[in-house]
Amino acid sequence: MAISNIPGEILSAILAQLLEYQDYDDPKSHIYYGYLRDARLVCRRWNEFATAHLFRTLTLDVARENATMSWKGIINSGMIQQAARDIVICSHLSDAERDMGSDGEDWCDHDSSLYFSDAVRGIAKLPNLNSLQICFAKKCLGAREYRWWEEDEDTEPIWQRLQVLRAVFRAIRTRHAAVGRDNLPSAIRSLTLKNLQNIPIPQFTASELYKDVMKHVNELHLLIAHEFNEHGPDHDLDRLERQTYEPHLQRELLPPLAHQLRSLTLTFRECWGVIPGYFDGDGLVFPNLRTLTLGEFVIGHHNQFDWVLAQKSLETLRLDRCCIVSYLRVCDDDQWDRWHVPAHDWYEYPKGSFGFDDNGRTFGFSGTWETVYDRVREGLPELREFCSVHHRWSNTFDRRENMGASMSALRYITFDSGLCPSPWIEARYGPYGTGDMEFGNNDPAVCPSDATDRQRYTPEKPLNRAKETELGDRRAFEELLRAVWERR
Amino acid sequence: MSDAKLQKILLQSNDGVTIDVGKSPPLDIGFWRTPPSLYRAVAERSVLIRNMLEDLGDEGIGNQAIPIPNVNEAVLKKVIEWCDHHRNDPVQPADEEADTRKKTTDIEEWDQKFMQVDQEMLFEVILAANYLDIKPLLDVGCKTVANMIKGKSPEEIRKTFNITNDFTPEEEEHIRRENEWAEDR
Repeated sequence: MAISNIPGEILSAILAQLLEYQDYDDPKSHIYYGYLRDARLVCRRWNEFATAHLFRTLTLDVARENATMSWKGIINSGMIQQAARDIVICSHLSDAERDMGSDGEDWCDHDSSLYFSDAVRGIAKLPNLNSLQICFAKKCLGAREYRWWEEDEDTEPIWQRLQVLRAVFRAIRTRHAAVGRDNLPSAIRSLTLKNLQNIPIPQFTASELYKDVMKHVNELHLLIAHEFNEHGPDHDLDRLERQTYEPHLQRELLPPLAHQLRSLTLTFRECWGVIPGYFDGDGLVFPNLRTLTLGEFVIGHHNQFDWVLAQKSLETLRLDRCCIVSYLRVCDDDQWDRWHVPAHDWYEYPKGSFGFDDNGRTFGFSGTWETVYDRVREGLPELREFCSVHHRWSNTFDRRENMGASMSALRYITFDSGLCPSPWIEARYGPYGTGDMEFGNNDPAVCPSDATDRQRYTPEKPLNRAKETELGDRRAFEELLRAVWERR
Repeated sequence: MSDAKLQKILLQSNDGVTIDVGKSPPLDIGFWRTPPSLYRAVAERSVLIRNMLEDLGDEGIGNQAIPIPNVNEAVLKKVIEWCDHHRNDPVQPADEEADTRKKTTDIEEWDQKFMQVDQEMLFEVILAANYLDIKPLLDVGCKTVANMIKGKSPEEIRKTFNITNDFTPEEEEHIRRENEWAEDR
């Protein structure tokens, strides 16, 4: 027996192992294709199977140098046409590429939108395509600040995002129409929108174009981006979209798709779900949902995970950097009045607790992961895979399929609207003092009236919900893993 | 513990040798390494055998050897050795902060040693794992071969696996051009 005699499926499985992340510990690491490129050159048989892996995912990165030439070559190669299953359409230069001084073809700057539309229409030549991702810029602007920041080259304005969406959806619709006419074998079933701006776009989502495309989609993966001002983040939290997008998602964007989705990913670039926008999934029922991935989702109420437990068809549940918020501070009453978030099961601390001044309100939430894990085990009878990770500096949106399961000291978090750029304060991580939280002066007692003592940190008794709940959480976590394993 | 769990399981290789799972002398693990109650756990690492055992029922187990027509004695014993070592492979560990993801080509030490065989045996084990439907063993086998490929030039790969280059120079040039479009991402 030699490698020349093994069946094609086995050779394909071997060659698939040649794909690897350049740095596996970095969720943003690129995939290295060098081994597969060399494997193609071994012999015709290897070329056939290696090509299928190498060009399974195509990237149309219109902002890159020589994008036009590369894309034309790709789209006209018979072998690549057959291999392509997924396509990633990038509408901008990534931050990393800008840092490297890439001088791409900025299609919006020189009236190249026709080229963009033409390039995107090339997907009609890919008969086996079934998955499409649009990757927008991370930086976005709400309508109010557009005039201020329109010269910022890193920012992709909403009109440009809409232009991209329309061009891509038109190309998809044209391709879907051809599925029947030209007997193309696949429709696009999986749609990923990376850095979708947190602004409702009813002029698009109410259109026939949107509905025509979305009716074929049964896998939807969203990474939501929000406006942030890296030079002056003081008011980022008060952007209207930060308060309204989660309700929009729950009440308007997701319900029309609920019956058709088999896989759903909801990830934000910032912790979401509790405050200043609220999401409890109430009323959302996905009768055919098999896989749900939540990224950066925060649980802040005892009933806030009920909507997940209501999806009885779930077989896979992935929690990516999801936390329970244990302490919250809203630093002024005006914010609290504007945000309208529920507080029915929060304990409100007296003014002056934790050393905070008298303006604003301070809360505690008693929820534990023990309860969540137990309810997942009992409430989702079809669950066969449970994943949970807390990577320290990034979610694993691009690598969610490879998520593992571990119980992290970072599973509890605190919120202080007076801090920026992010009001969400992760617990400490490391071999010493893991799970220690920072919240005010860390002392729940009402602080002395002497102002100099207000900010005094009390390291001798740090807040640490992870440690407090360790025994119960771990018991429930292990029972959950065991239960899902035994169902396989 | 049910009586069925104590019954021995017999497998018959394609060269007519009957092997008693858990008592097979060629295993270098000693007679009592595998307690009788685990015989079935060893055999059931194979989805194919598990299904066959279910079809046979408790009465049939131990009375007749299960034929494994695609695998010879030497390979079958090797596969059983792997199944025995991995018979209790647990739920993923839940150690504090343990990241259970593996690098694609990470192979645990015991498996690395297990796979230190000649190429013929290596590919036979991979084929047997595929036939018997033992996915973790198939993965280890594929990773082992992948590790033999990584870092080698096409010519070195051909030498390693005794493969003939059947490309014309034009075809090779064409592939090289196409490869430029496959950027790391």
